[in-house]
Amino acid sequence: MRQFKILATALGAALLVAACGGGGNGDQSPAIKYSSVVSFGDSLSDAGTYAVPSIKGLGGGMFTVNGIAGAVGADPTPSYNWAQLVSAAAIGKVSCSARLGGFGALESIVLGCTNYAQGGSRVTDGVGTNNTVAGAALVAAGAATPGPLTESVLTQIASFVADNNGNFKGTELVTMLAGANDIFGQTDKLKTDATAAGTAEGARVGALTFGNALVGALAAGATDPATAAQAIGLAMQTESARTGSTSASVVGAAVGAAAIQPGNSAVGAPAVYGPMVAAATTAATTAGATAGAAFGANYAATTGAGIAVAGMTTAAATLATYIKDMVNNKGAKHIVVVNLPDVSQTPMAMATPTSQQQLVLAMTMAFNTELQKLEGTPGVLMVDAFAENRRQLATPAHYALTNVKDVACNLNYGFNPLATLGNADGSSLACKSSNLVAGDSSHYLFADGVHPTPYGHKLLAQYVTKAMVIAGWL
Amino acid sequence: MKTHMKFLAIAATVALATGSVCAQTAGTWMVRAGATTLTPSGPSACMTAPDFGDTTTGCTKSNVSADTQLAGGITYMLTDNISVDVPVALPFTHKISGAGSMQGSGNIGEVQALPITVFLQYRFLEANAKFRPYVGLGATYAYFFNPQGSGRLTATTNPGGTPTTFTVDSKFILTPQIGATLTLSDKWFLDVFYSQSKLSTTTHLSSGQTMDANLDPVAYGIAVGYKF
Repeated sequence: MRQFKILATALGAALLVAACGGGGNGDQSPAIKYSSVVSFGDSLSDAGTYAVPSIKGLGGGMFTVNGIAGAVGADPTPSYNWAQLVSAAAIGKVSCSARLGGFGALESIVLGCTNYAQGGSRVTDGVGTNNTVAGAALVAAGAATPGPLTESVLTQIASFVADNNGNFKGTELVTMLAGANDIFGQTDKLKTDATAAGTAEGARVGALTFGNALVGALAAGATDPATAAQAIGLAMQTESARTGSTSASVVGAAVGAAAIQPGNSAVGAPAVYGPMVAAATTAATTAGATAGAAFGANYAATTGAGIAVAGMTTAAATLATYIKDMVNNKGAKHIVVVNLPDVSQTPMAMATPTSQQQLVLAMTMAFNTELQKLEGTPGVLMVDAFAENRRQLATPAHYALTNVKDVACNLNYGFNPLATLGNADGSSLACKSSNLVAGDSSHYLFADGVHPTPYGHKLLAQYVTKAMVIAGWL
Repeated sequence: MKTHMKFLAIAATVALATGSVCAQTAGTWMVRAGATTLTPSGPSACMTAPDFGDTTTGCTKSNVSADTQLAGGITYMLTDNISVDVPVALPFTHKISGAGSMQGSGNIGEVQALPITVFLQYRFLEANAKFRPYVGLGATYAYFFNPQGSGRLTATTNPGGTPTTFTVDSKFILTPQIGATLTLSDKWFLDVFYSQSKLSTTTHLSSGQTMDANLDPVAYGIAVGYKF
């Protein structure tokens, strides 16, 4: 009889459990209980610093496709960036911007919000992307600026410290992703420097060409052209060296010296020397432009590129010191450091010549290589977004990405309110469901030239959370 | 339930009615209790996109752990050599861990499994042989139930969103088996067995993703039995 009971119980149990099916939630508690998620960085992490009336009125505020409503995890993917999603995963709450301002609005503190990232921000330089020296000065002075705030990561950390009585509690999860705007800053500087170098070289070659051409033409009619040329050249040099000389006075000195050469008096007539000056000017312009362009390009490819790449190494090294300072001196215990995605394969970079793409790649890799030296630092978790981004680009199907080359936002003038007349230079900051490209772009990787779509952000978020899970941080 | 009750009632009645049949002859009832280990193989195939992967670095996969449970069964000898056997076991709990590009993630969930099987067996040698090897072929309903996701699964499939849940398809499969009994005394015997089945199933996640796996479970067990 006992066997009967045991068997009946066992079978009964089997049938009982069989009755309750369906998936359960299981244990959802994270490995570490965080009090808040604090984010530093740029537009990739910015949760709406610029959602001020002037931008919000356009339906924008974040650097992605704005305004897609819904809870985290809904389909289509709502407008949250990766840092906000990591916050939701870690503490069950989407993070919000700790500062609001720019684009005409005074900068203000948003209580209870801990995302300090601002679109356009660089590591140390307050003059970030789309900002100006004057604009940064206004921000620093606490005045309203017509452009973005772009406060540096250094300033962002100082803002957090100021908001929190000087220190981290140690229970925060900190996310850091910066450096892309340093690439853009270095690129702009390189262009400026290359233009300056090219202009200087062009002027030098132009002047030389002009002198040689004019001397040759003016001396040609003299009885002894060689002697005449020497005399004319000497006169030009003398006049050039004189304080207060002008190009007209130099030409005058040359003509004067030419006309007194034996057999050459006819050259003194404007009708004769005039065309000679014009021809020399043309020759000088052509030669100067050619030489200037070549020199500028060479500068950009060599000296300038070297400076730009070195600048990225410096930026990463500086960022690393900020991160170590947060851990060593400010009490932070968990900092997720995300390296730069492959900026050279963004739609913006892909629209430039191969040489420029290669330079951007070199800058990106220099930054990441230097930043990677943080690996192993206690309290720091490195996340290789560069590698993951390259996998996304190489095998989009593995990520359910339908397009990794084109942008989801229609950035043309007339569609994107931030585009300038006649140009396709709008920004995802004012991109929303109503000004997207035609067709289903919900699984595009890029919203605009450099920023991901909400789906792209979700992919980055779950790559970060995966790294955190494996590290025992989530 | 009613059928089972009847079946068991008969078994019990037989147990009470019959006296001292020592050998595994036609009409003998045997019950046994012991332990069975169920070991699924792995890893699974790639989860459907997104799967953190590409052709060189792999993709999201999973492994399923083995489990050992209290188990036994009842056997009825149709003839001196042919028997019908119904194993009974407590549900097996299998932990699911990340593999491939999810390697190192630890447990991402667990699921319970109950392989409900009826074996037809052929037992070699004489009915009263001390050692009797046997072979069997079972019809199994591999039943998966009570799947539980975890925060780790949610974080990596729907970060910050509603917890990711999943279900595992239950399947009808064939289970070939080998085993042997060793007579310990007039009534008592020892039973060991080993079986390996082909089992391909699909896990469906609430994120809309799916993951195919050839679990091909190996089962082996040892039990002490009693003849009626």
